[in-house]
Formats: sequence, structure tokens, C-alpha cells
Amino acid sequence: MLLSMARETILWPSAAALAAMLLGLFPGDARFKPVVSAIATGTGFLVGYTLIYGTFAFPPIEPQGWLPALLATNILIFSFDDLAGFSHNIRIALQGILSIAGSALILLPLFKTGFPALQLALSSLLWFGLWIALDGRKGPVLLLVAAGNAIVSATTGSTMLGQLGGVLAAVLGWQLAFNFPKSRIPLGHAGTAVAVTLLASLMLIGHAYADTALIPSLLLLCAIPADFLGKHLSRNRKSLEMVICGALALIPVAIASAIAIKSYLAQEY
Amino acid sequence: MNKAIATLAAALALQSGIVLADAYQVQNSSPAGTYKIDPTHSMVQFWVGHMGVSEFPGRFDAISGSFTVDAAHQEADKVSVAVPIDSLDTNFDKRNKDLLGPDFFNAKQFPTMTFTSTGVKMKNANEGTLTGNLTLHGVTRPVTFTLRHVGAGPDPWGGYRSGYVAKTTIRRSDFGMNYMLNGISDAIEVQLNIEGKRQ
Repeated sequence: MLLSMARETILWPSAAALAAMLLGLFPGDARFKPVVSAIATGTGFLVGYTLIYGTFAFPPIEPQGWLPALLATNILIFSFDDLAGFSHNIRIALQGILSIAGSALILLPLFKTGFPALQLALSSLLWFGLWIALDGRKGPVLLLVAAGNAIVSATTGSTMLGQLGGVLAAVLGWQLAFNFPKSRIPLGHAGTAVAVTLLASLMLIGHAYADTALIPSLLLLCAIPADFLGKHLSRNRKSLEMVICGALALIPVAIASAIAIKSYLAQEY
Repeated sequence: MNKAIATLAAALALQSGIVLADAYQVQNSSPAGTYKIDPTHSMVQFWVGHMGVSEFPGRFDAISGSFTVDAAHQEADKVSVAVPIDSLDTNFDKRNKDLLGPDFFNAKQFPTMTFTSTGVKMKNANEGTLTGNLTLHGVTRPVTFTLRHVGAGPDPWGGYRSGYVAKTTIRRSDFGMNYMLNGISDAIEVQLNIEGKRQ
């Protein structure tokens, strides 16, 4: 069963993302490369989603059913951004609207028992903050947070959400590998939009429906300021920046993962 | 001396299985009437295949509802049952959490499982079938149970009770629960034991 889970979570999504990214290596207009990157990230995730969850009802029955629609919306909107270039204000406004809309869609089933105003406000704010912080950011921080979220979800919340988080991390791993040391197919606005939307959605579903542990999740988010600290410390020395940022961002992710794994082992199957 | 003999006789009687009270027996009075389900003597149990090597049980401890039985007018018979999903117990907290989360039951979104009968057909006094709509995980599907009437009769507190055992097998994928079908069986045996107190 573990092998089957590894195939669903890593092998097939990676193969799909890799195949899509190889297409981006063909010579062509450089503006299309971030779009290819977003499509590769989305395709890889969709393959994993299909194998793991496999439900495509519309409107979705459950919150995780919104993931393909959110993914497609973000690719469409922000591919246009990568190709034509939105103004900064329009981009920020769209990111804000989509953060609120995404949070609302995921929390929608809970509206039946009362309006979760505080939860909606906090999740929208964190989603938006995550997006603003990571948009245009190179390096491993997004991958590290996604991988940490997969571990925290699987061990303290839901195995399925952990697997879906693992799919996202696997696809982002290939993304990083393709752009290291030289940027070939950068993530761009569309790719970041897809990755952040999936990450924020999975984290929110975990907290709202699977009681994923809060402290490790908050620790994961500390990787973002750690990454910024790394950027500051490396003082624009590009060769060092990725190493310093990665090392600093890894600290809270490793602590969060260790806490989650320890709590899981305390009640081992 | 007499006391010692009496004590010895009592001990021998108990040892040899001689019981002074009446033996347990099924009550065969008429089940006709409308009953409210007694949650302390009713339960939903299920068995699910685990990794192809075992059939693991679980149960829902809370149950509410009612049933109406009229042997002369079987078309008027009806059963209505509601089960809070978070009353699930599989004897291990971590597994309970997994089952109640989005991987399977998604109890926060779908907190209740309900069954409403559409027909009861008794082939004799004690056996028959119960057909109705089961709503689980936000999906409603028709389900048919085999039905066995266990007994009916007065209780020691002046009430009147009747009880049934209903069994069926459902496919969880029919109810949108598709996760980990390679490790946890799609087919789930369900058994509903209900005891009602006549209103």
C-alpha cells in the first residue's frame, strides 16, 4: 500500500509535470515559459489529485473538490499576467479577491451551521499574505513549506490531505530542479498563483475539516520571514542567497515536522 | 448446622446451573404500534475489509428515530433513523479521527447519517426486507436491508418494547467515499440493531 501511495503522490505527478516542463525547453517566446511552468505544476497536481481523490463533481461535494477549479482559474488569470503584464495594483487586487473567494468556497459547507466570520477573515488574510510574500520569490521556500505541510497534514490531520500536499511538494521539487542553478522555466505569476492557491487551500481544509495541529502549521509559516532574513543576510550575493535562505527556512519547517511526527508516533497505528 | 447445609445447597445449585429466576426467552407478542428508538439498546455496527487480510468492526454509539409497525397494513410501516457521525468508535482515537475527517466521513460537513424507509415487506412474522433511502456523506441512495424481528412484549417498567436486526452491504464509493479503495474495502457490511419503546 505504501508503494501505491508513493506512486500516486510522487511518481505519476512528477512524470506528468516533468513531461509538461520538457515542452518548455523548446525554443520559443520567453514570455510563454512561466505559463508552461504553471501548466506543468497544475498538470502534475491534477494527476495526483485524480489518483488520490478522484472526484470531479461540479459543484463540488466537498471542499477539496474545488481544487481543480481554483487551479484552472488561477492559471487562466495569471497566465495573462505573465504574458501581458498586469499593473501592480491590479495584480494585488486580483490576489486579494481570489484569496477571499478561495477561503469562502472552502469554508462554504460550514456556513450552514453559522457564519465563520473570524475563520474566513483570518484565512483570507493568511492566504493573501502568503501569496504576496511568495510572488516572484525564487528559491526553495515554497517547496519547503509545501513539503512541511504534507508532513504536518499526514501526521496530525488527514492522510489524504497529506498525500495531496506531497503531490504539490513533488511537483515544486521538479520546478526547483529545473531552475537550478540557471533559471530555465521560471514559476512566474501564474505558477506562484497555482502553488500558493493549492498550498493555502490544503492548509485551510486541514484546519477546518481535519483538525490539523495548529502550532506546527504556524511554525511552517515562519519559514517565510526566515527566507526574507536569508535574503537580507546574503546581501544580494546570488550564489549564496539560495543556500542561506534555504537553510534558514528549513529550521522552522524541520521543527514543525518533528513536532508533528512526534505526536503521530505517540499514537502509532 | 442447618445454616451450613442451606449454604452448601445454594452453592451446589448455582454450581450446577440451577437458576431460581425465569430463563431468558424471546417475547412473541404483537409488534404493532409506533415506537421511539431507545438509544441505549440500539446501535449501528459496520465491518470493513482492511488490506485484504481482515474484516474490522466499528460502530456508531448514538442513534435516534422511530418506527411504526402494523401487520394488517404493511404499507403503513415506516422507519426513520438518524445517526450522528461523530458518535463513531473503532476502539482507537487516531483511526476515529482519520475516519471522521475529509478522507472518509467528513463529519464537519456531513454530521448526520439518516435512513428513511420507503417500504417494508415481511415474508413471515419474523423475516422480511426493509427498503429505504440512506443519506451518507451528502449522497442519498436506495438501500435494502434484510430484516429480522427479534421480539416484542412488555418491559418491567410498564412499557412495551420491540426490536429488530437489519443487515445490508453498501459500497462506500456509491456515497462519494473513494479514498484508499486499494487498502480499505469498498464493500461495507452494515448492521442496525434497534430496540424501540412503544409510544
